[in-house]
Formats: sequence, structure tokens, C-alpha cells
Amino acid sequence: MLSEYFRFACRSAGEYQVWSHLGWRDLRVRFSRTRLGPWWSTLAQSVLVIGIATATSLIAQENFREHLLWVSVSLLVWTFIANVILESIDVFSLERGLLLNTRINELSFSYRIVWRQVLLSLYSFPIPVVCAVVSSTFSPRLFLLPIFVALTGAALVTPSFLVGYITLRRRDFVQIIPPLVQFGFFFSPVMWQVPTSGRLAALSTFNPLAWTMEGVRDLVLGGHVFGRNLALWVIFVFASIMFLPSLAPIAKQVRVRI
Amino acid sequence: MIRLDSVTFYRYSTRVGHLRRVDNRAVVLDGVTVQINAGERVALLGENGAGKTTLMRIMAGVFEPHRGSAAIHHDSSAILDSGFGIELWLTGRENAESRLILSGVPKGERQELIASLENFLELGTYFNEHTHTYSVGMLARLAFGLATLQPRAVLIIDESFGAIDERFQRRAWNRLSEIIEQGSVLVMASHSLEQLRTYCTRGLLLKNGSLVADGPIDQVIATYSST
Repeated sequence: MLSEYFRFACRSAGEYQVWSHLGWRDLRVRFSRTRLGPWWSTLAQSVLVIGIATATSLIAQENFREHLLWVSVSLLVWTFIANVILESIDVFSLERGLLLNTRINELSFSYRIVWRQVLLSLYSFPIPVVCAVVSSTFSPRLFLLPIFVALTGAALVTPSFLVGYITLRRRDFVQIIPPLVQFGFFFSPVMWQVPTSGRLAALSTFNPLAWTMEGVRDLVLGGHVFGRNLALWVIFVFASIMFLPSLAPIAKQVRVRI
Repeated sequence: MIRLDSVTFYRYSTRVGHLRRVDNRAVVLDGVTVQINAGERVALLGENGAGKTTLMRIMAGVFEPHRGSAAIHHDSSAILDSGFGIELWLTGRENAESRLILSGVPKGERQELIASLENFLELGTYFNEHTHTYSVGMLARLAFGLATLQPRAVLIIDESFGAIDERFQRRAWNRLSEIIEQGSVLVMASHSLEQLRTYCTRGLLLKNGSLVADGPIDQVIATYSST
């Protein structure tokens, strides 16, 4: 039984040609007939970064230039996580054709969404680089950001699959998940930092999103590289990947319930 | 080639009045046992909802039976849905390339296969146009061409000839004949009895998920017509 579960997880990873191609194809279709192609996502993200950095620097009375890099890195990671979860809502229901006509592994559909978002985040990567140059805080550690995003993506395959399955079984969750993601944005340290003590600090101890956001800032913007947040994030990524084989019995139900 | 032994399959999502229910699940296929050997051309007959498409999906390895066993040939190609796998915002050529990538065909072999497909489909400049500009018949041609792009051991076709014009149907049949001559299995479902009589030699009749007749095509068509 266990070997069957591990075979299931390995088979989906082995289908890398399938999900990587589908991810590329999605981007081509999504930006077909546009002049800028995927660079539109870069432009949209730039506007968001400038807008939020302006607002938050005014509220916190901080220097706009210094704040810019912090906001751009945080938003890039958050946008990646939020988009993976939101696009997973219809991961199975929109792929009825492929699911009912091919033998593509069910997990490959989640890999496809993660890969698509990794590609889009690569298009957004020039934003933090430009912000770092503008604020004269450029460090080669910034180039660890795409690696961090890709590894976070590996951890998001399991949540992506579970979101897709839950929304396939109970359509009510299609309405519930977007506000939950919104809640995650405010409840996690995306636009704020975890205080050193207090109730918020205690709650953040159990929040994987907090480990991720604090972890990436520690790694890329210069904090405690081997600090607690990054260690918790590494455990989260590892645990999430190890959880993949246990999805095998659920995956068997996807095609039947579609 | 294909051996199904007491295959039972349930559906969870909807209430279907005419089907038997077990533990609140509709029984779509009920203990179907069938063996199909190399080179056979098999027609599936039955009314809407009889379980033909589900049986084909099990034969194609898309579904796993809930009970019983299915020994299938993994080198199969299926046209179960005429619009399947055709991305409307890609061209015919891009769709063909996409299908070959999904089938794991190496890059070096793709161009030759695509060129042969272009020649076979006779879509002219439309082959390089987005497929949302295609007529239903052109899409059916493309779907057929994509499914038969590479020789396969098992070819499964569900109701896909309807929209294809008569001249292309002859070309399609010639292509099918070539594939079958190589020892491949053809499994086909259609409501056109004439089409089934032309293309198939054996018939399987399904009723409410059960196999009620299995024999020479003329005999099974006669049974189907009389019920």
C-alpha cells in the first residue's frame, strides 16, 4: 500500500514534461494577443508595489526608498502564495477535458499551477532588483529570492491539491476560500513585521505564512539567515513534500467525482 | 489486449433515476466482463446513459473500476470528447505540438509528425489559425487527426465522426484501416448503426450499465433495434 502511495507521488513528479508544458501553455493562452505578454504581470505588480510602498511609508512615516525593497520582496512572495491557492480552486473542475480523456496524474495539475506561478514570479523578479538599485541596498542575496519562491512552491503542491479537491466536492468552498486568503493577508506579516512579544507574536509562532514571510526577509534582506523562521520554513517545506504520497487515496476520487 | 472482469463502476455526484443505487451511489457499470483481442473492431451500442463512455474510459485507463479488474493496454489513444485537448486560443499546429509533448514524443520527431498531420487534415491556412475560428467539422477533423497522429495498439472512438464531411470520412476510414491492419484494436461507440456496421465486426450491447449482448455486429444491432 505504502509503495503504491510513493509511486503515485513519484509518477506526478516524473510527469514534469507534462506539467511544465501545460504551465507554459497556460501563460501563452492567458496573454495571447496582448502586446506585452507576461510582462503585463510585471507592470501590474510594479503599480501595486509603488502604491502600497507609498501608502505604508506615509502611514509608518518611513523613508519611501528604504521601504520600497521590503514591500517588493514581501508582495512578490505573498502574490505567489495567494495566486497558487486562488487558482487551485478550479484546478480540477476546469480541467474536465484532460481529466476525463487522459491518464495524467491528478497531482500534475497542482504542479502545473505552481509552475505557472513560479514563471510569473520570475517575470516579477526584476521589480525587487530595480527597487534595490534605486534604494542603494542591492545585495547578491537578492538572487536567492527565486530559489526561495520555487521551494515554497514545492510546499504549496499539497495545499493546492487539497483546495482543488475540497472545492470539487463542496462547491460552497469556492465562495469561502477567497475571503480566507484575504484573511491570511491581514493576519500574516505581509505588510507588517512580527513583534518580539505579545499575543500577535505568539500567534505567528504557529502560522506557516508568518514563517515564510519572515523567512524570506531574513534570507534576502539581511536578517538572521539561520534564524528560527527560516528553520521553521524549511521544516514546513519538507513536511509538505513528505505529505504528497498520502494524497494518493484522495486523488483516486477526483476523476470519479468530476 | 483488453480484459475486463466483473467491472463495476459507481458515480457519486448526481442522482440518475434509471440506474441501480448502492450505498447512495449510482451503479454506472454493473459487473461487465469482456475480452477484446488484437485486431478486433468492436462497436459499443446502447441508449444514452447506458454506460458506453464510462466503459470506454475504463478501457482507455482513465477510470479505475471500483470492483472487478481491468487489464488494459497502456499504448492507447482515445477520442472520447470531440473538443478534448484542443485549446481554442492556440493554432492547429500549436495544438498538435502540445499533444505530442503531452504524449512524450521527442522534439526531433515532432516536426515530421506535424507535417504529416497537416497534409492529412487538409485544413489549408486554417492549420496556422487559432482553433476558435474553426467550424465544428474542422474541430472534429483536428480531434481525429490528433488521436491518430501516432500508431497505437488500441484506438477508442466515441461519437466523433458525426460532424466530419463525407469525403474526409473516407480518408479517416482509410487511416483507421491502416492502423487496424497493424494489429490494433478499435473500440467505437456511435448512434449511427450504419457507421458501426461499416467499421466494426463485433458488437457489445449495454443496458443500464449491464452487458446484455455480445456477438457479431449484425446480430447485436438486430437485438438493439428490437429492444
